[in-house]
Amino acid sequence: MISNSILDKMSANKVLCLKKDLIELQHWQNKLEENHQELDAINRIQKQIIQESEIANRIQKVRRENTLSFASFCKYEQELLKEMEYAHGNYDLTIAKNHEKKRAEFISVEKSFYELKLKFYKRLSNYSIR
Amino acid sequence: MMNSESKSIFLHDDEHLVSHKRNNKELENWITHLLFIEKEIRYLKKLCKKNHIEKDYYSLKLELERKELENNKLVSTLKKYNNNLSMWNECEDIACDRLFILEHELYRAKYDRFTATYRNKKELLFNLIT
Repeated sequence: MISNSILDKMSANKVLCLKKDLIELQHWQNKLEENHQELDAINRIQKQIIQESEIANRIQKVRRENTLSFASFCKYEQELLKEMEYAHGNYDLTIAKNHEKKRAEFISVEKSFYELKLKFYKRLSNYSIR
Repeated sequence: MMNSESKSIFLHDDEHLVSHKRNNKELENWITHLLFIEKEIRYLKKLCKKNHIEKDYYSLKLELERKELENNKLVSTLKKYNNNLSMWNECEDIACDRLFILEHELYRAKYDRFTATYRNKKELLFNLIT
């Protein structure tokens, strides 16, 4: 039989791991919100100065990816909070693997965002902005 | 530093190791972001340079140069922290884990502070352009 102190220790470890996941998730959500605002600014400059449909389409594509990921992270946040509420036992590998999937999703959205920005800056540097 | 094999999460990993691998992955992501900022600042400075006769652009260019230096310094700090992360393996109890998690949060705060002030400068430039 597992003693109460071992069970308590397992729960404390699990809570600590879940808290860490939540902190990281919060960081991803904030970053996606900031990206969204930046996409608005980029879109404004695109409309006023660059006026190219290719760039406009890419902005739309990245914005869509950003929004979908944000929604998926909000859902994931609810799952983690629920897990915290009933935190007993070990922090099992299913939770860890799921978090890694979300990390991969975040990295992929970030990568698209960086690529878009580099393309955007290259185009913008061809124009006089005064 | 961890190689890509040792960073993967395995079934036999305990919570401590999972947490350690997570910190490492998160840290790598911060560094990737800062290295992107390094590239981005070069483009933003070029945009300011095109309009350097105007006072606002000139002072923004100077501020971006300062951010460039801060960014380089932060990348070195985080790389140094990354090299020291393996010390975490010496932890044997949750109290020690907590200390390392707290330390990680201090680095997160540094990273967050820098990216927030940098974003602010970028917004100023975008507003000047449009």
